[in-house]
Amino acid sequence: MKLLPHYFKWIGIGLLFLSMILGFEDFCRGLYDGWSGVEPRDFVPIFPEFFSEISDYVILLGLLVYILAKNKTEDELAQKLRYESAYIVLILTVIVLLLVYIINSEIKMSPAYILLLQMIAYLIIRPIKRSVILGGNNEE
Amino acid sequence: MLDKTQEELANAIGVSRQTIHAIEKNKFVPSVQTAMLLAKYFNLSVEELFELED
Repeated sequence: MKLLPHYFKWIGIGLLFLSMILGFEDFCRGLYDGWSGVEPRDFVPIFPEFFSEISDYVILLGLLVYILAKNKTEDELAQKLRYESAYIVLILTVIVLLLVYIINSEIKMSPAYILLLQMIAYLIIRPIKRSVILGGNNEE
Repeated sequence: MLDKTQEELANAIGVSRQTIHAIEKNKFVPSVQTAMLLAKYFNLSVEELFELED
């Protein structure tokens, strides 16, 4: 599997921080709206509106770059963990989507949101699998 | 086996120390290439180093 050099992990983390900064205002507005249930009249935007849209793409890109960057030592065990984690994420995605449709077929999820959840799930599952295989010897 | 550390063995055959640990603990089955490199490192045949599980 072709992967990005290890230093791309830091680029991915940088992009994640950038997306947090770009989407912070939107996040705060969402919290306030959710809390009050009304559109705040006195909400003065600091950033331009398109910042929150860019933030959605930057977070996807950041996660993708982070996932595709090599570990310090990329070997066959690391490859196996990648494949198995991706496989579990695929199965989980199908199960979750089926459950969502069974519970409420009106709920629509955007592809970007599903991708985001998949990548987050992958980043949770991979270290768990790693620690299951390696026990206490699981530092990367 | 030869009084080598996992780190030395890992460096010699180009895998991580964690991979050697996982192979030792029987948690990971190495590829044919890694198995042959390990056998070569210890001057053994692959069959002497590994055995099939029942």
